[in-house]
Amino acid sequence: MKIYNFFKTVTVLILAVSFNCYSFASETNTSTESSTEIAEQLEQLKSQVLQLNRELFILEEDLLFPASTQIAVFVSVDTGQFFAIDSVEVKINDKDVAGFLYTKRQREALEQGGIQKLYLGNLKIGQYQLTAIFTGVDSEGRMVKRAAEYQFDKDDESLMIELKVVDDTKTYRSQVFVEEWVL
Amino acid sequence: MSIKENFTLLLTLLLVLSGQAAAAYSQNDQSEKSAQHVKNKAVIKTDLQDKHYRQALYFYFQGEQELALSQVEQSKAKLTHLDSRSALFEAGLQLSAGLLQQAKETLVNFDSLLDTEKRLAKTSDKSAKANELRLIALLSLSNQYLSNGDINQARDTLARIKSVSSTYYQEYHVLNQLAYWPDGNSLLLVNPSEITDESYNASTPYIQLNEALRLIELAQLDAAQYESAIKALTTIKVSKWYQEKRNFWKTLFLDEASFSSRNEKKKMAVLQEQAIQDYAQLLLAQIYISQERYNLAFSELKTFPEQSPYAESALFLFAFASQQVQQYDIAFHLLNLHYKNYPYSQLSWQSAELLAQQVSEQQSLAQGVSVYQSVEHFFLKQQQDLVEFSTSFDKNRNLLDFSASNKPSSINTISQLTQLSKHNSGQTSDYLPQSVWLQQALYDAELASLYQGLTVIDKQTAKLDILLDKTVWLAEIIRLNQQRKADIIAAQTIRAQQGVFAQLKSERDRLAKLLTKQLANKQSTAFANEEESHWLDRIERSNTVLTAIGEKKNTQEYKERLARVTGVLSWQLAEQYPQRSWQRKKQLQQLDSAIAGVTQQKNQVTKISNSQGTLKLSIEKHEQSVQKIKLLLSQFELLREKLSVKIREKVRLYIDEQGVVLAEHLLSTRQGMAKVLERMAKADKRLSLKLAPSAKLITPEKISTIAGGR
Repeated sequence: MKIYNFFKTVTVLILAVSFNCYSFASETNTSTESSTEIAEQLEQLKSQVLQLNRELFILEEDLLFPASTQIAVFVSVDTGQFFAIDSVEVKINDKDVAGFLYTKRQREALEQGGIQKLYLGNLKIGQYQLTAIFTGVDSEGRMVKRAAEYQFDKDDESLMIELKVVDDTKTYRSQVFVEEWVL
Repeated sequence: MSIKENFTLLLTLLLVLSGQAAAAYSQNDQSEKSAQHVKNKAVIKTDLQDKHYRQALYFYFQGEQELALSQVEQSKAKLTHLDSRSALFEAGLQLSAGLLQQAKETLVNFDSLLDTEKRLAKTSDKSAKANELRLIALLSLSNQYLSNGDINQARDTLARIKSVSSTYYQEYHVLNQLAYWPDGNSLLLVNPSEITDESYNASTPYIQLNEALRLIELAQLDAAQYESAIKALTTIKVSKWYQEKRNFWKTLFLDEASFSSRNEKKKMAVLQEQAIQDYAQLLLAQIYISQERYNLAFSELKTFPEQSPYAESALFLFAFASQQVQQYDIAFHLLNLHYKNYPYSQLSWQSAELLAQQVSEQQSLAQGVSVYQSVEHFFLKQQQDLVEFSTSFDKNRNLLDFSASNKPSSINTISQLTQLSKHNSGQTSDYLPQSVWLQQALYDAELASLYQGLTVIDKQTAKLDILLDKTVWLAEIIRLNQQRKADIIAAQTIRAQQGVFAQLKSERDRLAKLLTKQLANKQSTAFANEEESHWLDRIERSNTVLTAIGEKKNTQEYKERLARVTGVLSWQLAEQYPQRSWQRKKQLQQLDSAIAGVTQQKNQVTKISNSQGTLKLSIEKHEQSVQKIKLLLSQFELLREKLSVKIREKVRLYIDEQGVVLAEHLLSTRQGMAKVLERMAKADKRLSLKLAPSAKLITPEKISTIAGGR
């Protein structure tokens, strides 16, 4: 609850009641109505900006990364119990395509269930090999690396690949799994 | 030309063609793709709703609520609809971005989504959860409406709540109290489903506080209500308040400081508890003063904490109560402290007058006059200060630039605002002026909201500028795409003119025919390699020469040798024949499949070059976006102008009113001073009469006439 807001409201009330404090807020009703109208207009405009932003984003994506050649790589983390992710490096056919260094906040966002879009690019139809190398800290504070390789065929549909860092409670290690989204 | 050479040439051609075709094909769009590729996969589809939702969560958990909202919006556009969970998340984000109307619409859609999901036999647990989430969302929406002063919308939203669990009853009750203030709203309340009186009282300080306030209001008509108010306030003052645990949804919708550390949260909870108790104490003292029970008020405020947010009001009341209980020393110090510490507060202006009055009565008249003079000087200075503020405020064109605070924590320029917004989850921070007059004026919620409107407009305008830049960049991409398409069409035309593809096909047909023929003839020499062909030619030539020599010379030995060589070569060719014929057939098959691939790609290229639609659509969208941005920019400018006018009006009103109040105080101070002077004059007169009785003959009027004459 926005308790603080309530509190402010209540404070205003008491001041008005107790001290007969001068309040110019309630001076004119018409003025309040007009302010509400302005607030509504502002809200509508804000909403339009948001919509426009979305449209332009989609247009940009359509132009730069058409679905027929689009490839996207995502990263997700299970709980991060055995592996606190520090960085990731992604190669496609031995060519570096993406890398990322995580801040504490970003790592926590992943550990709380977020999925990060790590890479968005274009690939022609064909066979490829994806290599992902994660570095991080294990539960005992040691710097460790986890890697995964994945062969995939790129056809003329957009391709989404998720790199999942999953904790294995049996081995007390984490592993990287690759999931190709079925669209 | 041998078959092998023909194949090599064909493969080269194919590589060239496939390269061009692939380049063009890479620009193909989704609609074309979906038309040509309809594959039924027998695998379970990925839950894209979940994946998109979690992408938004990634931003949300980093405190980037605006980005999270953009992500949800994009997901909605891509997936065409959102599930109930994402819809609720969207509503929460919209609320935090101040998009109340949109949030309300999303919540309406959420209801229908929920119904649909219920019909699809979702578990009752899930639906109970969803109801809880809906409740949180509605509470939050009502809260936002109340904060904006939109009481009717708040009431409407509250009316949509059909059941409330004990966990949320406090919020619900307080919101109802505020929405229907000052009317009693007990009839409107949904009864809490699992609630006991004990827990109700222990966990609802705000409800009790509001109830006490209501009783105080009623007490103005019926003094008996004071006792009930005192009872309630005494309970609040001593009761402990525990902040309940917050789950994700509650945090999303209801918690302002979502990302503060645990320690900060704990600290905040302690502060809130203390503030509630302080407030109750202040109200109690106020009631006692209204009832003229000054002793009680004095003892109540004696222990009031110095660091409380209500310190100013408490200080004034304490000083007043001290005067009434004749604790003049305490009162003197408190009044002095009050008017010096809060020179812009109306309470402190009263304090100044009270102080002068007290000094005149309790100390000497001369001291009284001196204090009155300094108070008068204080009011004159305040008046002057107010006039200066008024002038500089009127001169300033951009209201947000006016009196911008230099404190590092505050926001003083648009660029700072923009920067801040990037890191601050889309929440617009309040405008913090340096001018104390403006700070005081901004205690008015409406004015503060108008100022916030200005900061929102500037932020949105900055965003639109970025989008406008993006459109320039998109125009360049579109131009390059057009160029690319033109190049493809030109290359295709040239290829069509040259008939490369037709040549390729006819060559293939010729080779196939040749191969078939040779396979039918079963000629072992058909698949001879270069060296063997060379040998065959030599044998042929030798045979010709031998035939020409005929019987003229003994060529028997040559003929035998030639026959041996021919035999060996024929044996070799015969041995190699099955393997070579298979190889050729295989090559032809490869060629066929390669030609099929190229044909497919060629068709794609043809399709792309013929389909102007996709790019045209992009161009249209781009043009529309540019138009929209320009329109929005002008609308924002207009709205900013309207807001500025409104703010100026309100600030002008505030200045006028402060001026009137100051003038009243000044007048009253002068009147007080005049009275003291009069008393002094009387005292002087009495004294002079005592000292020189003959002076009785000279009246004060005569003295003043004489003084004036000089």
